Amino acid sequence: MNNTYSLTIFIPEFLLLLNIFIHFIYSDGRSRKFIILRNSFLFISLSICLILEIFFRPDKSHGLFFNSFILNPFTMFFSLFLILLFLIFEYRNIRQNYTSFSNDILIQKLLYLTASILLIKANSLISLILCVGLIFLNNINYFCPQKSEKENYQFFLTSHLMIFVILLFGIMLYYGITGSFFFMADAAPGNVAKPNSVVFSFTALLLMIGFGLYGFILPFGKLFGKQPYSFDNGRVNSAFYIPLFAFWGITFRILNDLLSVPESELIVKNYRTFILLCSILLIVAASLYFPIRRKTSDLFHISLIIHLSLSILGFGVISLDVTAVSIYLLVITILTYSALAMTDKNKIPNRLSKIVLIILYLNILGIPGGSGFTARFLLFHSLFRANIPLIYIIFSMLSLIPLVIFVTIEILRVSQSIPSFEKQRIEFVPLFLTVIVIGLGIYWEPFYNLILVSLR
Amino acid sequence: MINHLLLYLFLFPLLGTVILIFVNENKLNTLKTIAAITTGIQMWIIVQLIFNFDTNIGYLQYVEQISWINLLNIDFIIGLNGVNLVFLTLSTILFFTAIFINWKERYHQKSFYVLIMLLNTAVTGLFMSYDLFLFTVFYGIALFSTFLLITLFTEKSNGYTAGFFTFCALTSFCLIIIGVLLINNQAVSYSFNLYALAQNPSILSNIQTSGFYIFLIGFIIITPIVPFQSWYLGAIETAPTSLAVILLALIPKIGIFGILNILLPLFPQSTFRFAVLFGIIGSLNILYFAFTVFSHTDYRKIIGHFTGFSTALIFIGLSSIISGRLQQSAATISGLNGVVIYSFSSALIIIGLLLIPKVRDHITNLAAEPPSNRWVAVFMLLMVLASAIGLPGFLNFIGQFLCLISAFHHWSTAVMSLLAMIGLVLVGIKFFRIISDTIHQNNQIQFSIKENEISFEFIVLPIILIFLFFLGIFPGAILQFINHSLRDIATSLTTL
Repeated sequence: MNNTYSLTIFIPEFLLLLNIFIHFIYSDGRSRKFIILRNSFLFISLSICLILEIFFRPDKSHGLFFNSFILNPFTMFFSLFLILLFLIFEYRNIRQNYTSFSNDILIQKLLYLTASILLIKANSLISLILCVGLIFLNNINYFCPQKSEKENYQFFLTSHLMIFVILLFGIMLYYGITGSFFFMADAAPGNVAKPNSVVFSFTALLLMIGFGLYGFILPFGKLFGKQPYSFDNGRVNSAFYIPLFAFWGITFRILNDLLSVPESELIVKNYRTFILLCSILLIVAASLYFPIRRKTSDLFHISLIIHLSLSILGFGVISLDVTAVSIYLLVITILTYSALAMTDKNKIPNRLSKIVLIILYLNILGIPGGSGFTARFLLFHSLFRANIPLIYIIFSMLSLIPLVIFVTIEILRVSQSIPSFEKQRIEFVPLFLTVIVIGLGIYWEPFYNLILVSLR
Repeated sequence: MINHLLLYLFLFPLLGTVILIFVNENKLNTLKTIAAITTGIQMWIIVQLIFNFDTNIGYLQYVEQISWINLLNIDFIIGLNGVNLVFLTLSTILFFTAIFINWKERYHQKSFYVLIMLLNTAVTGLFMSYDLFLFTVFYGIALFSTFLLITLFTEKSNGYTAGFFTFCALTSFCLIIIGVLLINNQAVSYSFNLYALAQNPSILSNIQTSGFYIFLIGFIIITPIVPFQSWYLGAIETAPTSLAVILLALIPKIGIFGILNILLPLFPQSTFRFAVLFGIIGSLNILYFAFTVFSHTDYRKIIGHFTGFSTALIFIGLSSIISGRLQQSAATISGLNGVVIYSFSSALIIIGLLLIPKVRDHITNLAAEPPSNRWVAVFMLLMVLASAIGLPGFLNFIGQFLCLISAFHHWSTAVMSLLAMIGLVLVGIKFFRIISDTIHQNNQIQFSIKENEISFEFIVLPIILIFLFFLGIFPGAILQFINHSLRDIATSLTTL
């Protein structure tokens, strides 16, 4: 695709950058009218982004800016989801954005969103590392702590540096082996740079360890109290979830592209055991933390790791169905934990919040009827179809038992708590997310088909 | 309307659950009335189903098939054969009775009724589902609501019980899911349709064996038998009577139903090959429960052991499948008839046994009770305990007789049948001690009963006894429903 045309594809990113610029220039807006105008423009921009992502869905892959980025149904689907997630998270914050401090935070969150959308579309090693770098820089800035928490911050910095170095090293190695900067040579599906076992194994490791670590190390670090951010104060956390979702999105995208090449079938078979064992070991390792968890938020970190580990199971199979199921599981996980992040677990304001909280917990538990059960059932169903040895499936199922036990204990705690009788405002966003999560569990087929179509 | 009766039978408890969620927990009468009306309507529907059931055919009736998930060939399929009808009748009676027994309880009643109705919905759905995915969904909901009932309504110090039940339930649920996926993966066109799978078994022999063991372990964990018995023995110690009715009379029957409706039709070759396993499980459990019952003086524990014993006797009945080897399908049919009848009658007799502590109060409370009440109470006590150990004239006797006699057709199961008889004698001795203890007021057996725990005992008990007596005299009234369905299963087992 020529570069002039490519520019039109990046209208959402330009709009977001324009908003960042406006917020940066007029950060100290004292006039209320101006703030309303500025925020309205942000809402309009996000709506335009959504409309563009919905209506400009290409039927096949196109390379953009000399193949540095790629445009296909999958990237559009993920971008759409990221913008929706941002709107859900930040709706209230944008409305209440009066101080210069909250303005700075909003700028950083908009940067997260922009970088994440670009990351999903990245097709070359350079664009990929630049987007990751932008997200990490933003992380370091966003989670910059007070003086008292400097020690924890050190761990946070180190872990980011480590992940970045792994990715950088990986990129150099990838270029060294393939002689190419691109994941897909000319943006046509299946036309991947030299699919051989080294490339494939390396790319898988690069993406899974590099991006996977973001999903695992940070939550694991939180268990030691070594993270400057927290899930448990009811604060919105798009800063964590949106990049996490983008990292996993691009991992799925690139692996799916690599997997669609017939030659990679043998390679997948060779490293299947490794992937399955990784997933099971991660679940077991996370489960070991259950008994020593200190508070409710730790439970979310552990179960988030477990759910992400379950998604990895899908990588062990060369099949579109399984990748689609893994993405479905990922979406459900992100939605459920987003809703939980926005609910204050320790102070339940009203009866409805209590019911919402219990439903979300039940969904994590995997009670039939919710999307949690559907996602796991679909995943195991796909693994059976892929003729994965039964022993792995049984082990991966049994490794979920600690999660179920401890979440059940939490359900009992919440069900026995007495909600405040004062009249409190209903939290619409968690309620909305809960309805979606349950709806996607009962009537999941259209959504699953949407993912499947976007992968093709 | 008649055509959709089965669907209504499932929808009414679901509707009742949803309504109960929105009722204020302080409105106790409203809660009770809604639960009673819902289960009452279910009773009416089940009576309609019984009268409109065609006893001359073996295949499914009242079938409802709604397309659900096309991608995986999952449909919402419900249907009714004789076995389903008996188990549905049983669950409806049990929930209806549990709600009336619980009538005067006052604390945490909203949670209780919501969970009981949720369990009712799940169990009703489970007993009529003919899609393996649908079965799994209902099975999961049933186990989870049972877990919550155990945790919320038994003593808090009883953490081990809830924990062990969680382990058992999760393991069982995981195994059932694995089994279902295994079958689905082997089935032609990846179907979940249980009826179609049973009609055209195309499962490879190695998958037959592993599938058989996966389902068998999954179901027997929840039945429950040794070594999984400790959760229900622990739970019933402190559970309110209405909950104990559900735990003892209903939950083990879910496992039995699974064996009858899924294991036998789907894995006829393996069932036939490993039929002796049922006998071994049954006889070992009979010996365990019959001997350990002597060491207990707590009445609830004794009833718990009796439940284990009756479940074990059902396994002896199942072992009659081995007779198919000798082309004696009549023995297999009578054995399976015995299994269904004894499942039904033992569940009803467990209700009676759980009401005994209140009946005993009428006997021992000399000052407060009129003599006529006392005599009625003594009569009921005698009848319940005697029918529990198989007094001829009651349905329990028919069930026990069919289970034991059908096992005599093969030498290996005949030995097990003899062991079962010895066990029956031992349990009988213990029950006579209970009678003697009550009448002579020795107080060696501890009957712990809280205030307002049992209501309507003088209505519930006579109805159950009359019902069991009627069916004991006219067993054909129940046999005509199940005969055709079981004959189909037995034929598939013996014509391999």
